[in-house]
Amino acid sequence: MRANTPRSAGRRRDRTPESSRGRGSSRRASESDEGRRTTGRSAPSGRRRLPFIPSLLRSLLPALLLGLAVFGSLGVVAVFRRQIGEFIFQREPHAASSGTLIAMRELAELETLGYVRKTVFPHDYLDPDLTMYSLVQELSDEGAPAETVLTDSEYRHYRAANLAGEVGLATRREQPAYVVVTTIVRFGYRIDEVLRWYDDTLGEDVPGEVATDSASTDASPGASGAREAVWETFPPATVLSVETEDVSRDSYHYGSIPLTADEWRQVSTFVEEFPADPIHYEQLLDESRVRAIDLLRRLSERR
Amino acid sequence: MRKSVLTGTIVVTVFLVASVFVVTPYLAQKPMPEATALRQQVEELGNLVTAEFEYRDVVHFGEETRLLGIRTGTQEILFSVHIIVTAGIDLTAGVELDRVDRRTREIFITVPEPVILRVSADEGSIDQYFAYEGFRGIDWLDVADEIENAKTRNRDDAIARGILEKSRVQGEAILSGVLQRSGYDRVHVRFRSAEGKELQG
Repeated sequence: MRANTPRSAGRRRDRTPESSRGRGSSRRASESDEGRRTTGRSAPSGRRRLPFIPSLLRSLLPALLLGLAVFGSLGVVAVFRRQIGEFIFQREPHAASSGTLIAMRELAELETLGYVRKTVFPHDYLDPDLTMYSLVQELSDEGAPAETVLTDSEYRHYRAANLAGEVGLATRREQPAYVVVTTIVRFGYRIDEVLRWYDDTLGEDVPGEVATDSASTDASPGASGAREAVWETFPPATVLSVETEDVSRDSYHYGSIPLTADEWRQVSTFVEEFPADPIHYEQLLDESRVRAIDLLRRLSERR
Repeated sequence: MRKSVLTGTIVVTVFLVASVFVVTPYLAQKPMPEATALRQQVEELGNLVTAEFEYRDVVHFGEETRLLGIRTGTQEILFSVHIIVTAGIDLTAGVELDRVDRRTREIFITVPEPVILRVSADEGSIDQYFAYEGFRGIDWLDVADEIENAKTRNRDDAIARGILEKSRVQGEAILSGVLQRSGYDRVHVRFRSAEGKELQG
């Protein structure tokens, strides 16, 4: 370090006269540079020729290093955010359950149709033109129970917003806290109803039904028409069950369900009780009846 | 001046680019579903439901949360729920009328053997004893995992207790009743296993 000191000093000395000499002295300066190059000291001459690059590098280097550090850190966080999150914030779940058999039942139901409906609670019930304030105002003005004062859509909005507020979900459509509830409605027949219809309508004698050999299957048009007329009297289908589909991480793709057991019971029961939009029961019941007739015919007729 | 502006620009750019990588996954985590886009569908069924076992399960779920190893909170919930195991015959899997004797009014029918049609928790039966939500709160999906375990256990228990045999006996009685009213005096119901092998009813 000490050996370099005179050189540095010499360089500093050279610069001052050079800058004051102007254009006329530049050639002598070049010659002087050439002389230095022969002595093997090329670095100072390089700096002189390309003065911009080192100074730019020197000024950018801290920024580049800082940027690299920041970018690198964020990159590491982005890639390993889950592991970092687990290291900082750890969860230790434990669960247990035990069950006892409480009932064994014999059933006799013919399920012919299932209707699956997904409901966004409470958003499917909230009318964007209504507010809880206006509904409460209306109720206080009337001084009567909500179900008698409000229209159907107002009542559903009122009930849904109240329940959503209680369980910590959105009370307005703009808010994002929601859950998706899947409801399954099953249509069909209780077999005792079917047997009663057989007894009432067909009785002991069932023309055309037993006759299942080839000759009788090709019965006369009159017999066939009578058989068709009998099926016309087949009773309408009924709703056998309305239930909420169980959720799991594999089947539920809408984030989390921030509810306790009791809150989930309240929400699912509400959705089962109040379909968000009217289910076209008539159409589904008709379709269910047609399928029941088809199934029973297949059982009793040789194809 | 120029140097500091340049440095600032680089740092801000780097930060913004990195932020996009870090923040975007979180923004995309919970998209709001449109009600109209959700599935509504009609399923064609042909199930003869013949037996049902009902279980009452007590479910406990707890979770401890720790921040850098220091316990910061506890979530805990205890409740009971009824789980229903239903068995029956899927008539859409194929019903065969093997032999029909018009003279003796006798019929032989082969149907699929009974199966477990579904195992479901009855949400309406939930009876919650307590729930400590803590700082994080309870996610029902965590609890649902344990309910799935309970469903599997109850399904196995119902099979061990003979729900399928019960379903077979009841199914035979129902089919006989329907066919006798269709005019057959003697009805022989046979059950076909899933592999196609016929079992005596």
